[in-house]
Amino acid sequence: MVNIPNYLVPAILVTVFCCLPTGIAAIVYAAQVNSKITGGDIAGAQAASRNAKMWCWISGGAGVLIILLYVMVGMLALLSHR
Amino acid sequence: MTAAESDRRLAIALLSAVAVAVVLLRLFDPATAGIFPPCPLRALTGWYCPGCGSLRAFHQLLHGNLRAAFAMNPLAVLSLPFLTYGLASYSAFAFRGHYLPRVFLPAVCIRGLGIVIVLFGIVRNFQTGFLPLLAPGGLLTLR
Repeated sequence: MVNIPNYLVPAILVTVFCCLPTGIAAIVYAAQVNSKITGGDIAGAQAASRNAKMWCWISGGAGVLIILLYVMVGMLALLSHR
Repeated sequence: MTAAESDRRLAIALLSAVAVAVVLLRLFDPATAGIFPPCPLRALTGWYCPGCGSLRAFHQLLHGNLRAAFAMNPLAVLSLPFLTYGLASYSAFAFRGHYLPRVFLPAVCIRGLGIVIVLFGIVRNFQTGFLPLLAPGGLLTLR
């Protein structure tokens, strides 16, 4: 079997914990990696693998950004209540 | 930085994050301690997401309460062994250059998994019939 990572585990993690819509994109590309390997399209599988990785990072970044924004808003709310 | 080096750094970062999370989740209960950030979706809209309850679930797991953990987020508890294996496999790759043995999932299983996650997130917001059972803690109302 060809060794092309599909990034399924990080894709699921970011879907649940970071950002659902972009995480789903990562899962879809992860599925595409395996379907293209099955179909013998190695170049296509490698492209899908790169996309899966990219969407994992985008989702992770979005998750971190949302949490940071959230903490900032929370702090502002605390300060304004003084 | 070479690819191998960046893999090692990412693996170290992930393993440290997991270690910190385990210590914090063993010491503090997310249900009562205010140190964990609440789910942004829940805070903004009041809706549960597929991940809601997972911190409380892991806290219960770290105290040996499988039943309470499962009630908080069944999906998180069921997927934990696989996620753990995934991290172990990635660490093996980063430090030793080879993944642990892997199962090749057909694409349809992966798509199905994505659909299950989304449906779980939707269904646990329903208030009628037996569906509230899937909201965090819902299964604990069963006696």
